[in-house]
Amino acid sequence: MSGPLDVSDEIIAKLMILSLPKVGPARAAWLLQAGSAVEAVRHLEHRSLAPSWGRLPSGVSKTLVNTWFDHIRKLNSSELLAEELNQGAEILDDQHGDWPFSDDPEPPLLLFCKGDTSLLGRQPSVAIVGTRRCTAVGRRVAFTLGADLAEAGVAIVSGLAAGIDTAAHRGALSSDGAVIGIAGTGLDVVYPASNYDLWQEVASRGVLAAESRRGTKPERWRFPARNRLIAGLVDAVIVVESHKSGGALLTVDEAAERGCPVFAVPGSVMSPASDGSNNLLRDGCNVVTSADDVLAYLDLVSPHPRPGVAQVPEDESSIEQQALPLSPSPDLLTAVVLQTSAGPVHIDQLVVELGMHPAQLLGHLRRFEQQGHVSIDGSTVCLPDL
Amino acid sequence: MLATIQSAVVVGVTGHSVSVEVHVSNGLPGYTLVGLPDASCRESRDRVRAAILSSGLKWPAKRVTINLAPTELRKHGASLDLPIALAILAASEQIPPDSLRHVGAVGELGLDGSVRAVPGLVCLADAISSTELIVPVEGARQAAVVRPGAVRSVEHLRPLVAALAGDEPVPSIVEPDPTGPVSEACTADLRHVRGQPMARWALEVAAAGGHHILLVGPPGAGKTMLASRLVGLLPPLANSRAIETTRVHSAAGLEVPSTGLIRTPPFRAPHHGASFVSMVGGGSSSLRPGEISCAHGGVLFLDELGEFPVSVLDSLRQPLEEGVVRVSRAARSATMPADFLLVAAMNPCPCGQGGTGGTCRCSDAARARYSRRLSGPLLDRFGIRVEVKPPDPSLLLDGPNEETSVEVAARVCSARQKANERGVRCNALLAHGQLETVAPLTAGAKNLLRVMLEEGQLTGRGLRQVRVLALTLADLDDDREPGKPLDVDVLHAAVGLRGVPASVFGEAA
Repeated sequence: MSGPLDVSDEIIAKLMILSLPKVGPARAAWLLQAGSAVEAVRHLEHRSLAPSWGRLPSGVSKTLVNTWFDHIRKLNSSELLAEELNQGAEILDDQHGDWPFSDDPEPPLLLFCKGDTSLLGRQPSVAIVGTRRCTAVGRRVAFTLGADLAEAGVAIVSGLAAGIDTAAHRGALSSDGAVIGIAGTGLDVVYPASNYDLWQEVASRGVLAAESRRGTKPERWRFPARNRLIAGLVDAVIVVESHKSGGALLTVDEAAERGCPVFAVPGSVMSPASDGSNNLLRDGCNVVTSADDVLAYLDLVSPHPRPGVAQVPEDESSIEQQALPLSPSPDLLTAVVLQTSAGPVHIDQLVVELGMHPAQLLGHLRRFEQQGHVSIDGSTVCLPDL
Repeated sequence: MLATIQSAVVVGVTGHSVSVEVHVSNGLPGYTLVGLPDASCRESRDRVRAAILSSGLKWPAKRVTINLAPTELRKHGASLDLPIALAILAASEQIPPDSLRHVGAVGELGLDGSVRAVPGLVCLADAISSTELIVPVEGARQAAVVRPGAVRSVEHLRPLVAALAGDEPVPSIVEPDPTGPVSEACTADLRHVRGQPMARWALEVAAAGGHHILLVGPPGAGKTMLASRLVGLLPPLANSRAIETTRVHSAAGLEVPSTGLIRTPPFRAPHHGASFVSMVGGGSSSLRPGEISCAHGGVLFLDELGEFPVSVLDSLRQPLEEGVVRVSRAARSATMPADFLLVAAMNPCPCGQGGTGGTCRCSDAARARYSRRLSGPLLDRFGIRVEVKPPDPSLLLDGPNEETSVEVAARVCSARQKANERGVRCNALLAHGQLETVAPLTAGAKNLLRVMLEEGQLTGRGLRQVRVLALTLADLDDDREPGKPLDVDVLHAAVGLRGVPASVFGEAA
């Protein structure tokens, strides 16, 4: 068994283990108890069980082990390797200088990366996670936090999923900061497919990483596993929005296991998308209302202190200063912004609250949207995305 | 002896003239029907024979040959019963053969000799060129509108034969009654819709400008209730359209008012299980009009739009554009009117809760699959798209009384009058070239549209729709001086009426 010069036998053996049917991080770790991956592969090739494996773990049947025996002999290691290394991907293992999981209790076997792998060890780093079904407010908060923290020199880690993840990545990219995207699928399986552009950008301007081989499909269990990698990489985790039992809460559990502090953005009590994050706050997790809260914890200085992420005008004079040059109806704008500050509002409600005819109101709302004060999605008015 | 009488059969919504020739000769008694009759038409033999005998007349014990000309047109249905009976009686000299020279007839016969209604009477009457026309009582008034002064109605074969023989007075000419009831009591009044100011207004604009409207919202938000109110806002049908609609309904065998033409715009709400043919038209050799033609002049309501088969939805595109539908089969083709106001309602996603951050349980993939059912071109044809949210419970229980349909219809009517002055029935029909003259834009408005086009927020079709929509909004505003260029505010409002939530239809919509 010998591979190209720069790739060790150990990496190839690990690659072979990962390509066995029904092997995830847990079973791979069990197989590695043989001493090393090379040792484990050798045992499998000789259809023998290593003494250090002891009893088969639950779920691993004799039949499955037999399949592994059969499978490992059919593997062509150089093909496997070539497949992984095309299109500029790299394979990192624990011997690599950029390996970020040295102290992790559940490190991945290998890390498949695209982009600047030196970012993986970048200090400080923060994960911004949350629900895929986020509100416009949540998206805005995630974007702003990503942008502000990245600007202060913090590497932003997230999971490349729709919703909060995407907003956080986009924010970090917008201020040219360090971006790390951890995928739950293979690097070539863009999930969700609509995020293709984002994956490309993260790979070219930051780093894209995954613990699974190319072609790995999005399976349910892979996302919690991905979340443990995120928690293992960062110095702090920020939950922007999470439903009552959202996947983001799994990242929080993993972070807690690793002693990594967790921040949560308080949300409206009316919004189900903030149930999970508000529960975290009730359980005593740190509050974050702007990047400064996190920067203070990381002992970093904010590049330009901001009063808060969701800037709600406190009094009329401030809004007038903001709006006068653009809008002839600052009173209406104030009223609309106040109505929408707690979350998206249907136009019907504004019609009732403001006592205007929909025709006039809609005209004004659209103008406010053009000026960037609000955003209209269908017939729902909310604070704008950034 | 030979006798001939004029009659007709209907294909699509058009009558085709048929002459019924009967030859009675000596020979072995028998009965032959030729000229491409289908099964329902061939059955006429037994009905005609029984009707003649029940009416106290004689069935000729001779060789009876009946030819339906032109022979290449397939004849169907029972509408030729009466002319066949009359021609047999004339050929067997029980009535004077000359008496049928200027007479046409349509009608189904009962075994007792009674003359029954036939579908498509209006279309049939139109196709028969004889100076006098004998039809069943039911539908005679509608037939009289297309053939004034020619229609006589009969209830039974016997008095008709007596009249033709000169023994009894001829049944009097049926007077056309084009007025009819202007509108039946509309039970679905807009007054019963509490709250929903945005959707109520959108309905008003849709009715005033003839813009197709899509209502998106969770179950129970009131989409169906709103949609059923739209028809009450439309003005009664004008003469020519009333005739067209009556023809279609008559051809489709739908109930037509006993007094005259259909004046109330029809409201058709086919279930989403409807087949392609039932929606578009077609079927047997008669090419029956489909639901979209039955909605001609009125409202076609597609509830649960996302559940309709994609083929059915895409078949709507051509009729929406042209106002007619062409149904072609190997043997025949028919062009049928299909100019309707489309109202569609759908949930934002399969579970219905939809929207961002809500209680939606759908996966992204399920949601994408659901919204994909609506092709972009179809979505683009909805001039107005409104998101409907369930109203405040307090409004439902003891909210104030809302405007009635009659009040809103009055505004709609005055807006439509302004469109009439531009030479169209409603603004949606304005030709592209006309827009420049009837709906000029202020410089600011032009700028706004340019920005939206450049940013890809508007397509070419969208641009036209926004301008037309803005014109309708201006028409509805009584304080506005007519002919004033459309300004930024009214354009903003028009764009706002086309909003679909991105969470439902993706950013591209």
